[in-house]
Amino acid sequence: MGARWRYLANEVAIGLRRNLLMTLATVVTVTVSLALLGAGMLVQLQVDKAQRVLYGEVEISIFLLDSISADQRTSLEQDLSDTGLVQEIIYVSKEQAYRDVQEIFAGDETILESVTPEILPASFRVKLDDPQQFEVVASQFQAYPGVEEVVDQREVLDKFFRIMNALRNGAVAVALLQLFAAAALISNTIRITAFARREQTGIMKLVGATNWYIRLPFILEGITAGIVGALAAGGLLWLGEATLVSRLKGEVNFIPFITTADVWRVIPVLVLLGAGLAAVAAFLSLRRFLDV
Amino acid sequence: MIRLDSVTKTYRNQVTALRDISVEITKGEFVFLVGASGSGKSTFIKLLLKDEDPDRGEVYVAGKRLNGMKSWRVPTLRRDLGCVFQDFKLLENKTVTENVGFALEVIGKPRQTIVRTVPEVLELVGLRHKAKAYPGELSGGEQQRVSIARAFVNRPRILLCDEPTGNLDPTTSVGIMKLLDRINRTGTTLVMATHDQHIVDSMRRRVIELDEGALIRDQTRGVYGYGG
Repeated sequence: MGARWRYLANEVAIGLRRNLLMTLATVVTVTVSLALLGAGMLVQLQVDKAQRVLYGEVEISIFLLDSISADQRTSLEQDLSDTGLVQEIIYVSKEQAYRDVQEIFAGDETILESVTPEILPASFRVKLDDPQQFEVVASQFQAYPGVEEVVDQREVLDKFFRIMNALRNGAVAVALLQLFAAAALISNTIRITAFARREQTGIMKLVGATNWYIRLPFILEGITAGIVGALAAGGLLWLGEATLVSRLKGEVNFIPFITTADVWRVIPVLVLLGAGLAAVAAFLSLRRFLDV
Repeated sequence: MIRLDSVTKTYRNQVTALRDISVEITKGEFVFLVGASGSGKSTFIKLLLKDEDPDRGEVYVAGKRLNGMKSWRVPTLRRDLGCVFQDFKLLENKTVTENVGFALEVIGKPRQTIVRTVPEVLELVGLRHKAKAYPGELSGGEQQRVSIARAFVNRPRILLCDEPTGNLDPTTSVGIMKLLDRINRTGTTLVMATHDQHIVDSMRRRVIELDEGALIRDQTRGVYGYGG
């Protein structure tokens, strides 16, 4: 068995060295494609995380006209809770709204100077049992006396998530194209190696080496390139997380971000994909080339 | 050991290499396969190796029926066969020892077996002293001896030789024939395609002659050609 493994390791090393440039091109392509795919997966994880937290907190805001009377306000609140769809109702007075603005835009003097309690409307912040029921509540209270506007805060978030999803889809689409290119490159590199070693494989066939024994070095060569590419892609993702996301974390603290642990979860998937893709590409390109 | 029943082989370019050949070769025989270039000698050998398949007829080698043999069983067949070619087919970047050992290595023989067997077979072919040389440093005759050592190292039951002396001068050829004769005497069935008249005439073994794919003569203790 020792002889066999030494033989394999040797053949793989020779093959990779012989086409250094092609091998490099292959590894780079695998790296780029898997990094993109991994980025797509991380964006998905990010969206999931943010959605879970943000959707849990969003509310409907019912902005009130300044002219609303105390009676109208009380009956509005009563009717809201009578719908049976509402989990929680909080009244936000003009003064409270002003304090909220001051808190959210703390440090941003230009905004703070232009805002006064008078221009901010009072509102009810309503948390629904089921956020999907927004339309029902909106249509019922839009025309209610003293109501200025019913706003579903999810819409704001949806815009954000649509952008994130588009980013993810773009990354995955480019990644798939790149993966195809990577597979073609792997297949081509292996054909070149197989051609360069046709004398040797010819002799192996003659003396009765099995098909698998002849093919294995070529397939392992492809898999090695695939795994190296996947690990490099993992490195890029880790770097991206450590620099980009960490900086965002410092500045945006109302949503949870992906962590290094998430990157570690993605890397094994990339390695498996890289190795699998390479193995399949290698196997297919050899089937015709190295048959007995 | 080898049997062909009404074997016909036509290549894709419509050239018929073998026409309705029936031959039986028993264990331990030494058979010359003679005929002009293109008479079908190489095709005959390729059929035995299952490098080609016949269009009609049956081929049996070493107790195995080759027609319809699954491709994964072909390596087992080839381990029973040794092959020697006109162009030696040695790997230039490997030493004599490595070239011979390679044949055992790639069929998964353990290291100890390789270390033990290779010097033995190099001794047999008279190249013990060139064990560490590279093919480029050897004469044609020596290279062919390495090639024979590689073909024989796994002790095949049949040795197939396609023009083994085709690239060698007459004196060197005699040495190679002596070696093949010795191998044959160990009980190895030997089939040798050649058009070296001198060798065939001096050895006086069974001769099978092919002409444009047809078997025109099968003679024990024969010579290269009638009246020639």
